[in-house]
Amino acid sequence: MADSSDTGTADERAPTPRPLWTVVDGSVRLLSTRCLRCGTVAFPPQRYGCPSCGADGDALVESLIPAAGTLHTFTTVHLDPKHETPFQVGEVATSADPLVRCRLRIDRPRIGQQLLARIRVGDDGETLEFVAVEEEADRDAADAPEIAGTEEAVDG
Amino acid sequence: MGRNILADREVNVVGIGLHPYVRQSERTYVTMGLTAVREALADAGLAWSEVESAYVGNARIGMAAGSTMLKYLGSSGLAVAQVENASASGSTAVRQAAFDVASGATEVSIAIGVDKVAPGRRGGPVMAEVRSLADGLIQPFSHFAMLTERYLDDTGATIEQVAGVAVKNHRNGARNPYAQRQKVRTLEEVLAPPQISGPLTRLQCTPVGEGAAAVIVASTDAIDRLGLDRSRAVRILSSASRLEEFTPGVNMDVALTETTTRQALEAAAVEPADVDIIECHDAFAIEELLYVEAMGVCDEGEAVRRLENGDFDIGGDVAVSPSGGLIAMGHPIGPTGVGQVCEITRQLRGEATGRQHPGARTAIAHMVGVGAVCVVHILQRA
Repeated sequence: MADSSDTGTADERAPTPRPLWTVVDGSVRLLSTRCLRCGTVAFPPQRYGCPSCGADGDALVESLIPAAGTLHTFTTVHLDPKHETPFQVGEVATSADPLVRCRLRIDRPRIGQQLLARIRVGDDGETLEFVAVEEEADRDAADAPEIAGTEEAVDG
Repeated sequence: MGRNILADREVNVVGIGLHPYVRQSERTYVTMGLTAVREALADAGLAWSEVESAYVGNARIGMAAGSTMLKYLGSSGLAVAQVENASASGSTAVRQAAFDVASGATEVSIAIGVDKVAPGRRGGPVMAEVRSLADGLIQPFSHFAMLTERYLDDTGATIEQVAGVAVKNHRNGARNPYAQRQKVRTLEEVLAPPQISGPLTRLQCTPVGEGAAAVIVASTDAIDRLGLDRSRAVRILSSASRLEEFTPGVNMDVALTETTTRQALEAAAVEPADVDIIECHDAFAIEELLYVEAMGVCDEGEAVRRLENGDFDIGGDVAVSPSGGLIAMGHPIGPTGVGQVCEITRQLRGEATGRQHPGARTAIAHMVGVGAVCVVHILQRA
């Protein structure tokens, strides 16, 4: 990336890679950006400026929001040269405002249904995906060994 | 909002030209671009030396593509700039050319769109390095597949009804010799696999190919001075261009088209009910339904019924995408917005042989691009 002869701090040159979620008291939280000037909460997080009012610098603070909400819309992707298909993606309307675009893993997706986030551990590390609360309740914990439940200790 | 400078000084489309939209080919972009420009010059009855400025819209062929190509039209020293605005690059070239004439900076200008199927380069959304939970997973077709699912849920419409847009636009494209897809398709064919994303099948999606389009604009003074045919001139009444606004909880695609179209219609003093032709950014079938509602051409939730009624057909209340739209005519990116103005001009002149919408007088050209941006022009027969 930027070489050491560049002027400015690392933060000015490029956004510092940061995680998009963390686990607090056993539940997944999304890292978002809150604007102290207008109150807008934006996801994904960034330091460039508030997409609503344009405030920057100290007016932007990191904020943790619940990784849960309702299914706003979804699709099953069948064409993608870089990923194994099919897979599901969607938009989740979180209670804290932002519409979050994410991977889904839902047997029978239905707009409006309650979702929560699960951390999935795969070959390429951890990814976050949203699942249906109602399907989770039915799911036998034993048949989903790859999915680390939010109740399990995952250090954030 | 500033005043409408297109009302201050009349800007007329006086020449149109196209290179057909095609799949990836051996032709260079120069060959295609020059074909469109020379056809537009011949259509106008104009010499290249009269053109004072050129805006070349493209998104995939890189730096200085426009100036390199234009040298082969003969030495004239005109002002040249390349315009990139994602899928709205060509529409933005039209806007800049029209503004040159409206401002009095030039008497005759040209907007050109030209592009090749070329390997994608890292664009703004990637280079900004704002990571998301779905990086690289949501291509445009999946974005619009999600809008389709939401529309079906909100309105109770069926995918067969949405796919009706593609049936109509393939039928129109079959009558357009410049279209990339020139085949009539049944509903069964449109809904047949391959499935691309969710309910979207291949024939509900635009084919991204290559080609070129050119539009020459001139002042009314220039028409008289150069002896151009005034009866074939079509006026550009207004131009609106907007970046989406941050409006949580609102369908931003719909809101962007709504505000941009309203701005353009108000500037032109045209009511939605007065519109005879719409060339619409129908890269995916669902878009036409969302946008005609957003434009105020029909009430919210009414688009499906109006489509089924034939109201959007050539010969209906308002012909939507008589060219075949992006779904059938194609979407070579840079040329697309310029090509819309070519089709509209042909329709408003009454020269769209085989696909003429009777009595066409007023039209909307509408494009959206990644960003998201929206560019709308209102055109009218003199």
